[in-house]
Amino acid sequence: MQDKLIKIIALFIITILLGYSKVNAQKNDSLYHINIDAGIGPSIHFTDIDFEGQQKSQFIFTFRVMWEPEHLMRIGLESGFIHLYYLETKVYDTMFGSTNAMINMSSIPIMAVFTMEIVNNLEIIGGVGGFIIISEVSSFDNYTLSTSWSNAYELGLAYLHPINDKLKIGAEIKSYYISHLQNYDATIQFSVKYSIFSY
Amino acid sequence: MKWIKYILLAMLSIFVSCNTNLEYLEPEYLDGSILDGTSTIPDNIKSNFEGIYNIKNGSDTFGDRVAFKWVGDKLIVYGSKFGSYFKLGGGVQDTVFLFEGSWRHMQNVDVGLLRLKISVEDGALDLWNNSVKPGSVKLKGSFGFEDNPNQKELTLEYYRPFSEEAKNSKFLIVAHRGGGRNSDYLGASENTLEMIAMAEELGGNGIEIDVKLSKDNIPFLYHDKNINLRLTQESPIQGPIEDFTFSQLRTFVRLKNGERIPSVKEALEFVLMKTTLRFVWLDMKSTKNAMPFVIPIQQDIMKRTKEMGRDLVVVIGIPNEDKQALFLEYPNSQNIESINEMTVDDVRKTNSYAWGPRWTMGSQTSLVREIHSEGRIAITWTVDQIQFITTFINESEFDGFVTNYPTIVAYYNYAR
Repeated sequence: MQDKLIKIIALFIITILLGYSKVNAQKNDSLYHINIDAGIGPSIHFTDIDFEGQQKSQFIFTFRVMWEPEHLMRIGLESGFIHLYYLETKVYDTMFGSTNAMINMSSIPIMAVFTMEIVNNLEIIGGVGGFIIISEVSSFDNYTLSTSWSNAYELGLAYLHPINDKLKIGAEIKSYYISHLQNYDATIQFSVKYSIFSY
Repeated sequence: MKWIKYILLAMLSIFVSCNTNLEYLEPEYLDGSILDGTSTIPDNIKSNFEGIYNIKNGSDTFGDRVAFKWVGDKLIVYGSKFGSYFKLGGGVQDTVFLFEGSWRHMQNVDVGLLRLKISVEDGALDLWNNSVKPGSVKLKGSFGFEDNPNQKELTLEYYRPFSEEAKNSKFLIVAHRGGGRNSDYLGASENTLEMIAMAEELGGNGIEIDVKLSKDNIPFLYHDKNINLRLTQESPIQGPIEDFTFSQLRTFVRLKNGERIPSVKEALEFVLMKTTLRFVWLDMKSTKNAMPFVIPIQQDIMKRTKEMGRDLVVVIGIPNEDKQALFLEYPNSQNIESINEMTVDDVRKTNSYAWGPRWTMGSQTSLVREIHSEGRIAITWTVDQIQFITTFINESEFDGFVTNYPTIVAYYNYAR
């Protein structure tokens, strides 16, 4: 039910985004910019997995390179590092005896990102792409590192206040849906945007 | 920038389309069981119930005709319409027979409850006296859904016993993935001991199971490359399943219905000791060379099978040239029971016990005859559509086939 609600909200936001882009497609600014956005902050991973000692609050670092034309809609690529969760626990009563276990899950997003300034300094962010999921487990005297791919989607909102012509700073709130895990990661980041090139 | 909209819409359609939930639940009568206080049906008259029955009331839901077969203490009813399937417990009250259980359409997720009774007027004494004749026995009762279990009348009438052809049939009904797939909503996960335990009730006399190899070289049952939500509950470990040790998989991964991942050794022990299954196809799905670790387990089971006088063959699947090369590398491979999915010449090369061509290649009667003339058997895969099930049973000379719907194949096999 909760998943369906979130999907309906996503549909609503994307519909608004599509409609808004149609009626506000042009601005007088004819410059094209290549910007770098970077952000860091805490994140929460929403999962049904619930072990004693599990830390679902982690951190996230992301950056994106954006092409900002005269249109409201901007496009770019996002990557970074998202720590999903970590746990250290003792597992009892297995057929192999008991063991001290360490499990760590992190990911590297690779997303095509679309942003749009809906009012001055306020941007809506949508993204589609994937996560490289990095799974580590140490138990029964064995360490395993495994990687896999998951499709992923991103929705967010950023407020960036201009400091000068090239630099903006602010905050960004966003959520990723990781389809392979069917769960979400949410974050509030401190963000910096820097224009590296204009033409 | 129109294409951006298409990307967003495509992204949204993927986003809302995934469903990995398994919502099937075995229904139960909420008013208690009519079998409480009944005595068990004596083993020596159970076979009197078996045979082909006409459906007088209820044919719109279950079809015109069904087959009755006891599997252990359950009376199982197999039909063809939507894969109709009843699983009934039985009891005796005075001389009257009572049955209660669930029904299911295997080709969809319709599921419900039913109760049936055989009174003295409807031939109960014929069953006691071993004098069942066509039309002499009627089962009358009702069926419906959990919230309204007595919704419709159901009447079944004994039509005939199984034919000699059906009784003597050695046809192998090989249930896919140990009994059925997760998408068949059977209440047990595919490739588990729990699913294998259901295979015979579902009409199978053989199973096909998928073999992977753990990081520490323990063969286990699993179909896909990755740990994923199609096959497992959410797991704290993720990635290609063969990256992990068996103890890690066993400890941290739960299959879709909560089961633990079984090893091949556990699965074959279970088949040998807890079932009367006659055939196991080990489908070698590992990306590694699992032959040196699977074959010793298979050979041990085959040795014990012979010692016990059990009618059971466990075959190593050879699906392609790579696996064939690995099989042939194994010492004395020519004497190891296997099923080769490639050409008849490849079957000879590996001296396989069976040939396993894909069903889309057709009945291939002349090649099947060649295989038979060499003392081998031929089993095709995976036949699911009713029109092809009947064609392969009635017109081909295959010794069996793999199917996701063993209940439907069982009906047509018993109705020969």
